[in-house]
Amino acid sequence: MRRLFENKAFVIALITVVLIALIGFSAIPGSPLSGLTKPVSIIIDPIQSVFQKIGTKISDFYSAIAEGMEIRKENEQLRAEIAELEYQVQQGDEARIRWEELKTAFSIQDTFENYHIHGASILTRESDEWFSVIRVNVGTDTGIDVGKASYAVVDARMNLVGRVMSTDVNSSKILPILHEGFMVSAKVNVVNGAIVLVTGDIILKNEGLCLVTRIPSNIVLNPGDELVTSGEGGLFPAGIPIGVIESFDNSDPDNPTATLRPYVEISSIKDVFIMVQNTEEWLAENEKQQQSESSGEESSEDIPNDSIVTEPNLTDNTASESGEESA
Amino acid sequence: MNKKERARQIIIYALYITSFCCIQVTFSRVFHLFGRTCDFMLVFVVLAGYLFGTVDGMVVGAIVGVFRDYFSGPVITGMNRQPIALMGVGVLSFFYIGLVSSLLFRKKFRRKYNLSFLQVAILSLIYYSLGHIVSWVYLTVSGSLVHYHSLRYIVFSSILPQTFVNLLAAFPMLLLLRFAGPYKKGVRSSLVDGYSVEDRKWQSI
Repeated sequence: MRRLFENKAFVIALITVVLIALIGFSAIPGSPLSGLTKPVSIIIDPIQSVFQKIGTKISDFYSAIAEGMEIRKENEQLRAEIAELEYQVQQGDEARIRWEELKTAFSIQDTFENYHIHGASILTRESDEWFSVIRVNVGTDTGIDVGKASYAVVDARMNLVGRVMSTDVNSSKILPILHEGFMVSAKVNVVNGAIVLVTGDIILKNEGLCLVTRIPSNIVLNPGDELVTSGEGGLFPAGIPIGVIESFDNSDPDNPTATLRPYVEISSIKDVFIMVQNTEEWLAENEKQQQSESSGEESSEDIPNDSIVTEPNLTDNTASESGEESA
Repeated sequence: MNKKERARQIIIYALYITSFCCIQVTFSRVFHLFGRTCDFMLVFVVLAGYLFGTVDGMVVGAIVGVFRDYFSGPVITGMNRQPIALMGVGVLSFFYIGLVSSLLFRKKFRRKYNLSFLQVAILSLIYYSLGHIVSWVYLTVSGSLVHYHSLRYIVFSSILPQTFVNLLAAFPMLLLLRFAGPYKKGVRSSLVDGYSVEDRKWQSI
């Protein structure tokens, strides 16, 4: 036995077999092997975040120099605008309170009302053509677990970026919209719009485009038509903007296809937002937090409770605003 | 190898592996030329195998592969059209890159530093060619191949520019391994594959 392990060829063959078995087992959906990366993430993530912080500081430093002159001009303009905006903010606050009242009164269905949002920074990008998923800095420690639910990922304007593929302790892998393994059921954003399938494509991704298939044969898509998530399949909530049609190919009448240019430009975004469906536990916890915040403010500033509009955090605020827009 | 040399080897390899892997995936847009990103991970494994032998090549390759899988592991489409993240593909690929790099042309090249560029070019060509072939075969076998890149694109927009940017990345890495590498004077005195450096024809600059 010992002699066998002294044989280099045998050791290499053994390692190869073990690795092939590992790849095979990891390909089984729901494989427990996906948990193997968790110990690795504990070691690698802090190291990687150091590199990211260094990079951010360097880039901020250069940006500060390059943009200094521009910022000075902008500053003057902004000062003039501030005065005007302050007045608008006062009006906006009143309008918002009014909106909340109306919403409660008429039970308006907010599209993303059942979701809250976690902001995340992109840690790593693709390595090459085949190793091309993105890693972000939120994981199971913030309650995101792909074993329990699916998560849509959007940018700051609520445009679809991709979906969460796997989660580790404090980071997650995102499958971007342009990846050939990505697919989402979409609909044309008009009343009774056609349902189609948007997928990543190995060739089109180099041009920043997606492929649109399963277009009903009686439907013609025009350049500029907007597609949003349809909500079918349950992976993505309905109504998230995906992109606009770039071209339509009806050369095969039974199987028309189109290309879609996503709104999101993945190469330029630094932060993404993960949409998490509200659970009863989260709602209870959030309510408790809001109550404690409002009672704290009340006791310290002695402001009447009716005038306080509580927002859990900035990201939740984003979701609420976007939801309102969609509604 | 005494304790001091062993410590130097481990510390420097650990430092370089984490640095190159993190730099590649964090600053991919900075090291972006001709539409391709410098593949520091690949180049480092090739150089480690070529300059310092089979064991170094395989071990460094496997560790770099873990980083590759962790940061941006490949995703395939499963039977129910659901994407599945694979594990171990990077480890297997880079393990073999380290192994092949340490064995390929070792008698002809004699691990000379100036010929390491040629080794990087050869291994880059092999890796990206095999990547396209495996990708095409997988898509064909799984029935999900709608269309694939043209041969012209593969050669002139993928493999050749990638090889070129890898060669650019090889230059500073080679200097680091020579003057601040895991072994004194950039030479591993007792190469594990049985060849000595006594004839002075090995690893000369």
